[in-house]
Amino acid sequence: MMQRRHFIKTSALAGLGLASFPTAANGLWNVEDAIIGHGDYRYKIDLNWGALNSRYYPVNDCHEMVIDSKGRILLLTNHTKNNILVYDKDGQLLDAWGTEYPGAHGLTLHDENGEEFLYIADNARHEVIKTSIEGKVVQVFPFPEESEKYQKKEQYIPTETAISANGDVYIADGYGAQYILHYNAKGELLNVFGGKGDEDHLFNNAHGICIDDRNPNNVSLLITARQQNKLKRFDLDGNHINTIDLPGSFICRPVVHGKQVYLATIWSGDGSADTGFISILDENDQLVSAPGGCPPVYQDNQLQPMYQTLKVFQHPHDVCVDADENIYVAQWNSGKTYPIKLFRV
Amino acid sequence: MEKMTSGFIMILKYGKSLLILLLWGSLLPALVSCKEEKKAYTPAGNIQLASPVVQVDSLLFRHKATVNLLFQQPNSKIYYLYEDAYPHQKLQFEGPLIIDKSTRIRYWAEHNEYLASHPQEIKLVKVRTDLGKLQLTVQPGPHPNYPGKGIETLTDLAKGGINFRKGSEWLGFQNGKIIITVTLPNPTTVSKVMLGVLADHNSWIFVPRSIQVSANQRVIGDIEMPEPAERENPNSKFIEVAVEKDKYAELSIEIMALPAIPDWHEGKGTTPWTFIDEILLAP
Repeated sequence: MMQRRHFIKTSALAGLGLASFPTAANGLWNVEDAIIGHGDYRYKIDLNWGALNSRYYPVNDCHEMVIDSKGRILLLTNHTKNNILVYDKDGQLLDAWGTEYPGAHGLTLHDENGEEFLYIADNARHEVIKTSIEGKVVQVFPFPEESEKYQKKEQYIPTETAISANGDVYIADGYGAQYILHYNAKGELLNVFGGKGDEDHLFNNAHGICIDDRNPNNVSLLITARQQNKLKRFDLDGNHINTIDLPGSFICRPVVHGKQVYLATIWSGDGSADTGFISILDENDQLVSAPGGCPPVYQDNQLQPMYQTLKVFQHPHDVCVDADENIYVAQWNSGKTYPIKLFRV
Repeated sequence: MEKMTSGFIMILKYGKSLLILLLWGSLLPALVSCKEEKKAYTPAGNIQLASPVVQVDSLLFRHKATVNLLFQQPNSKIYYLYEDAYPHQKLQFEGPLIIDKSTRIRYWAEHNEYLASHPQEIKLVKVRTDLGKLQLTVQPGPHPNYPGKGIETLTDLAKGGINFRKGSEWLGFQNGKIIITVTLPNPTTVSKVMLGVLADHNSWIFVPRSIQVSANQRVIGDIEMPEPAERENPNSKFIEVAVEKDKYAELSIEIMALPAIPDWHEGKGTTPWTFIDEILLAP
């Protein structure tokens, strides 16, 4: 990945004559592109990357995004005219589908023997739906009555899924009773862990979950406890391993890309509205960049409370990262706006 | 005529150069767009700074309070002014402020590339009446989701911040009318009643439409707040109701919520939330 970025940088320098034009133009018109982020993770911004004609392709909340093996970027919105919008990396619309997901919230892509599938966590239908990449429903994970943790379906409000290499499915009940439900690929419930509370193995808003396979010999689960500003690591059997404190960061879902973990951070500081930014952790679980936020500072190995410094984002809800390490940002409750793209510089 | 002729000659004379310039002008953007993957990056001048973070040991204090402002965006500066000092003097923040009397402070951040932040305001109140021993009733009670820490939320001298999700700082209601009865241990001089309220339009929380204070079954003061015409930044503030100055043993505070969320809001027509957190009486 880094080699590709290095190639792009070198190519740009080689074309010095052309590359100097925009710089000269910026100087002439006194326009400086905003650059956000810190350290090696800095980005230019295209606020209009995903903008579409809302009359034909409307969105409500833009909840999550994934990128498929063809480099297509899929956006999940809870607008039932087109729950899925499919973009290319330049923001051109390629496809739109989905009318039956009023609570479309979580979107996870999983490759099963060369075929890609989507898992949609619908918090209005109180279930998770597995579809083909084109939207054909192939499996439903309904309200887990057999878990005996719930009296009624409405108590179960799934927000996210994570799929392990063997096809096991982990569902985070992030707006419900805060349990993590572990199924096999057939949809048989294997385990339930977590629940609501302040202890290490419990959650307050278990909003996002992912498989952390950066160390193939020690694959684990990363689960956000959003209201607690914590990212919690569990083994695949549901045993708590450790907790990463991210004070002031209301993190939505962890996205592993390369050696980093990227997290849309919907609120910051004291949790007031319109204060989001993006969090990027390195392989040592240290916050190394916060595009839109203040520089991360550690004192005595403790991250100091984070807060927004630039109003680039309102409520970032998810990110996806492409092969060039550009970031696409979907936002909740942000005036029905479309995704923003951050170009790594 | 002479001018027209000379203009024609000028075009003939410099026409070739003009043509080259025109072609160059149209080619330049094309060349740039060929090279740039995406040419419309957002300029810094289109982005606004967020507001500095304010740290206050207590917005309500008996002797003094300390105010600190944080903002770690490189090359930015923090400014503030005292709203109740005239003329207003813009001051650069360089260290914690020690406050020993009630005041309002406006603060914001500036940068030579980014737009200045929206000014924010905090109000610090020096408390002179001890309400610790008074009795309160609230009808109806708060919504089960926002019970705060009970009725003492209204007299604990802890002003709620804008993060109502913390759960302990605010009583949240979704009723048209809330009546708070205040029974003082002894008749006490009161000239002003202050009520802490929250506005967070993104969370469907609006300040009340009106507050009326009565004693001995007679209205002794009231205030009406205008319906907001547009979305406002979240803010935690006091509403002050001037009352007929006298000694009172019991006060009734009637809080009328906004009847419906305004038309410009996505929740238009529905009952808004009302959040209250602190009652103060000024002699």
